Amino acid sequence: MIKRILLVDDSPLIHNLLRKTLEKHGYEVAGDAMNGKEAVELFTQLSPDLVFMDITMPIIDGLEAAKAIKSQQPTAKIIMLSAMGDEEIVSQAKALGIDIFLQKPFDDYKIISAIAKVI
Amino acid sequence: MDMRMTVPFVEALQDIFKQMAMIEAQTDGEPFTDNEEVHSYGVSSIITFAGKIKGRFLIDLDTQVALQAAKNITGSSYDSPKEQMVLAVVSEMNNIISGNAITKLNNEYGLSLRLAPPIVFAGTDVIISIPKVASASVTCTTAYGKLKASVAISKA
Amino acid sequence: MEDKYISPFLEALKNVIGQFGVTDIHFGKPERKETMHVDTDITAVLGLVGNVRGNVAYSMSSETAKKTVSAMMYGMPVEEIDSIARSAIGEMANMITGNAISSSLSLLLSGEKITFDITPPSIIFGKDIYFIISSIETVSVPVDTSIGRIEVNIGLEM
Repeated sequence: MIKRILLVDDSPLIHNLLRKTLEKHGYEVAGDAMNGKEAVELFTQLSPDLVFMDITMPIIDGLEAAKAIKSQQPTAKIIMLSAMGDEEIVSQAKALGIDIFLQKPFDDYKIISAIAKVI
Repeated sequence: MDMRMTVPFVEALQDIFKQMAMIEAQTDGEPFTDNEEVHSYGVSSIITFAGKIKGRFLIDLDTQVALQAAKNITGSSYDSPKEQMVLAVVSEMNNIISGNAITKLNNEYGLSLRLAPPIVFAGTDVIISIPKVASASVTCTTAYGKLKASVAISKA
Repeated sequence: MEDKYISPFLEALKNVIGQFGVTDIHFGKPERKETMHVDTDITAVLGLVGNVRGNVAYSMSSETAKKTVSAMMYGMPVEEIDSIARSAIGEMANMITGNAISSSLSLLLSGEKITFDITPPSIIFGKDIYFIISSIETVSVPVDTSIGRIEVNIGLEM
């Protein structure tokens, strides 16, 4: 079965770049959320196999959205993909049970090998 | 201003222009203390930050550099730096450059800095000034034109 | 961004410039946009980090900027926008933004403790500039006053 991935980022550019990479490697983009609130809504609606989650976003940030998703479904697979990645943020993400923390920028290899580790 | 603060920004700038936009930016020399006014090359993006200190990071690009970066990243050609996608590319590149640099500063000096959203703008004969705060700048040369990075730090 | 976040900025602008003796302050109709086009010489922009995050920009003509600075300096004539004048405009942007958030906006975020920092203002000179200050939208409100028009552009990520 083709794996379905939800993309969460406030930059449309990042959505375009991730979509290109994922589709090229045989994954399906389940949906595009532009902020943390949309992420939680779309997760419930679409039940994706994996979520790529930015951190600094409008309305609800990525850490809070990840927390909400994890409390709804503890086995949810989430990869954080953020421009910021200091020790404080990374440890907050780990405490939420985030599978992998990636720092931007990214290339195909970084994205695809991270996916292979979680699903 | 402490010139050490500029290092992570300039390194991140060079890395990210190379990785994301396939543009090599060679620094023209050491960082220098800039006067209060920066005459924009064409397209600029400012990100401000605050925590234990406050500051501002500016990248300023020749129009051709911005257009080429947008083309290399998105795969489409653009005529004007005022197009939404060109501005979005410069803004997101600055977000990633600043995010990477701030990460290093936070880890190294425990500054707890957080970024405001990027501001990006394009116009003709634009002058940017940051009152009362000393800034250090580096100019770079690329195959498509000039590029400037400027860091300003003020105590909180 | 909801409408209720706009009026604290307008009220703060009115309070701050009112204190400097500026009168006849009228708020125009808010307009929502993705890209903001500035055609008025001078823009002071600053950022907010914390649980209120975003950028706020104030744009005006050089004439209005000179009159603003003059009003801030108890009527001292201002001939050009030199470094003292720029710093005064930055200070005004700071005061309005700080005032908006600490006084009124905190009441709107009831129950939530508000923590924020205002980042250093940048002053941008030039006409016909295209700006993006927010990844979602910017609300622009023209404010007419006895010293000319000041455009308030609010890009809060909330």
